[in-house]
Amino acid sequence: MTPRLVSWLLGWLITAMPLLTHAHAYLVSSDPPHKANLSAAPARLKLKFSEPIEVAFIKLVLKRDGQPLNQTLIMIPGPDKRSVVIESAPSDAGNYQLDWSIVARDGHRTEGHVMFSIKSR
Amino acid sequence: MVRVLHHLALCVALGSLLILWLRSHQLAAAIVSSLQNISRVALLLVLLATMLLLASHGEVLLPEADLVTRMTAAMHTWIGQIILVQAALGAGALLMTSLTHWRLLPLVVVFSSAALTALRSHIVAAGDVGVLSAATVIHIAIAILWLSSIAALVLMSLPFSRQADFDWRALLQSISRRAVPAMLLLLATGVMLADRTVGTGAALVATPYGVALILKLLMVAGALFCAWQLRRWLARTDGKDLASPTRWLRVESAFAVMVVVFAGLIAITIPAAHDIIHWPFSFRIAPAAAYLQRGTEVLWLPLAGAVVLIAALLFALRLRKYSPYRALLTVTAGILGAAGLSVPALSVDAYPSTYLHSPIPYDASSISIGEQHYQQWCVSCHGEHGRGDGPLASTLRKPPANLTEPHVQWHTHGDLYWWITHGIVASGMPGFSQQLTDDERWQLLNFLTAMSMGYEARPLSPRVAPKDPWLPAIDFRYTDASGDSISLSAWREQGKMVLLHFANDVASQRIMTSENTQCVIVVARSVAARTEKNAPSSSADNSCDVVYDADAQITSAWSHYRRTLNDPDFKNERISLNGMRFLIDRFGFVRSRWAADEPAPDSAQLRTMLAQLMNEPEIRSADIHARR
Repeated sequence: MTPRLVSWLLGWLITAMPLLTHAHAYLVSSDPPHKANLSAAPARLKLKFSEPIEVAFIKLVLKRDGQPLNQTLIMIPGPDKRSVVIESAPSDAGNYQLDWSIVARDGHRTEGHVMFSIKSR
Repeated sequence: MVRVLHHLALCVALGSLLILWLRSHQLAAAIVSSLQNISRVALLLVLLATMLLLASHGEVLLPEADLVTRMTAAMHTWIGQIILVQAALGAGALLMTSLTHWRLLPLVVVFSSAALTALRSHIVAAGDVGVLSAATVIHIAIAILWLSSIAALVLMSLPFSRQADFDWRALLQSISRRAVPAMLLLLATGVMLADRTVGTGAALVATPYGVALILKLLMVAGALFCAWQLRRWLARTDGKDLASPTRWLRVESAFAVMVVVFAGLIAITIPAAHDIIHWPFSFRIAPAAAYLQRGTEVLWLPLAGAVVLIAALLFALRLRKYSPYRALLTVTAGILGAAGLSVPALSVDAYPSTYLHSPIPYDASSISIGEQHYQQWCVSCHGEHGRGDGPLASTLRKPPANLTEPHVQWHTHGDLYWWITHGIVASGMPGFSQQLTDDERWQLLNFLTAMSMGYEARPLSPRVAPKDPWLPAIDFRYTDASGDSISLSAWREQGKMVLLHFANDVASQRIMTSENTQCVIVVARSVAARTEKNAPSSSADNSCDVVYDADAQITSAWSHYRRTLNDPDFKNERISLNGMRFLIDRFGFVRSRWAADEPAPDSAQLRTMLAQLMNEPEIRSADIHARR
């Protein structure tokens, strides 16, 4: 193989090289899903992320009609550390927003929110 | 930039240790001593950078806390512990730099410390054990070796290390020889990782991550061009004149520094595969969609492009003997010419929202609301059943689209969203950005999707078509026997299949289930009301969840999927689902369906189907429910 041919080959090959890629955890799914319109109050809230998270550093704020609720949220991390269950789910009708902020195991913090509403009976 | 400092310092340390290991016996004591000092300073910088990395990780964890609390918190995380090990290895190597024997030892220790960076990477930290994690480790290790080799060569080309009898050419040759297999491995692993972090061509060109990756690859290409020049020099001369290679090497090292800078930038950017794509072009390359829209005429220009490319390659092969640069130019011109001919033919119109994903779940509730929007805003032109035959249709200069035809599926959700929002100038369709909110337009789209998919789903049969999932199940929420509110998609989360049965009377149902399959019976409103007087738990089969569809929302949404080849019901006379069963695979796709009057699979056949679906890997992402 001539040096030129090798260089050509390398030039082509290398164009697909990402280096030292890190990334962020994102929300895979939630229960209730984002923007869900519920006719009954959920028993619990669940967030599932794309990868393991540092469960000691989760920040959650539950808001009803834009106002943060004062209740303490009881969180139970899933066994795979990719999900978290919030046992203290709201039961009254209203528009809810659950703000989440987590640190993935790769060290990046990501934030987001899940909105849902509970219809009045 | 701490990452960049960390990586560059690591590479300089590795470069100097590499020379000390390979060539210290040929070097004067003063040069050896200088190289040792360089490695020590570089390792001190590495230690400083690791502490800064730990502090910045602590800031991510606890932004409001003081430095000590942050650092302590950081030490309790995966990343923090790896950084600590890296720092310990760096400190150990620092103590070993004075060794006159065992020069390989500090080199191995620093290389291990550098390679541990792989464990901090997204793919390994995400718990992807196996091939991808191995690819990450290999990829990062080779990249570090490549950068360290460049650092080694640069160090030996600096004035302090000039030595008359030192064979710089031999050093370059020895490194250059090993570069080829290393680069091949870098390619293989790079393609695997890019497929994971970027995913699609659209994400590559239209996200910050993708653009940073392209820029980094351009820097890599620049570095490789310099490497090519160095190889040409190696092949050409006896190595006495060092001016030319030194120049190329310095340019290459500048490119290498830029590679590290862009890698650092990429590290803090949302991966393209997870980012929102705002498409910047008025077209997108989509050969399949172009062929569906325009037929075989799309093939001619790309064929001409292929001829141009082949001609350019053949011409370049002849030219390369006389002038490699002209050969390179010819190939570039050939590629550009072929692209110029093919791209317009293989493209379709695109909009800023083309690759947007719906934020609204594909569920019965949103389809029901979407249908109300349709009835209010769309019926007058597109007709009650979407066939383009509304009362105003005949007054329009161009007939409204028949939304029950397959062409609806040729467009992305983002395309349809753009048309609903901004209208279609060519056809005279108005936009609805004033009448409908953002969410309402996506709800309308969910309804259109269900309607269109329902017509496409006519060939669905009681038999499972292997490895062809395409019809997303419509999600809905219900209250299970224990009183908990759950959704149909929750079974998907648990990796279970669902046998979904629409019935008028729960008492008569006997459904075979297996440990991997959940059966869910949806009971029509009137029957549900009667049963509730007794008790829901009196259902015939306790292993089935019984859903009372009080407002007929679930039945109404799923009735879009009722059309069969024998009974397509184009006139929408029989929207009942009574007795129809759907088998949903563990990734959330409807895979088989049988009506009450169709021959149902017997229990042996059903068992075979379930086993077949259990063995099938994930072919399409469950994300399809929100993204297409």
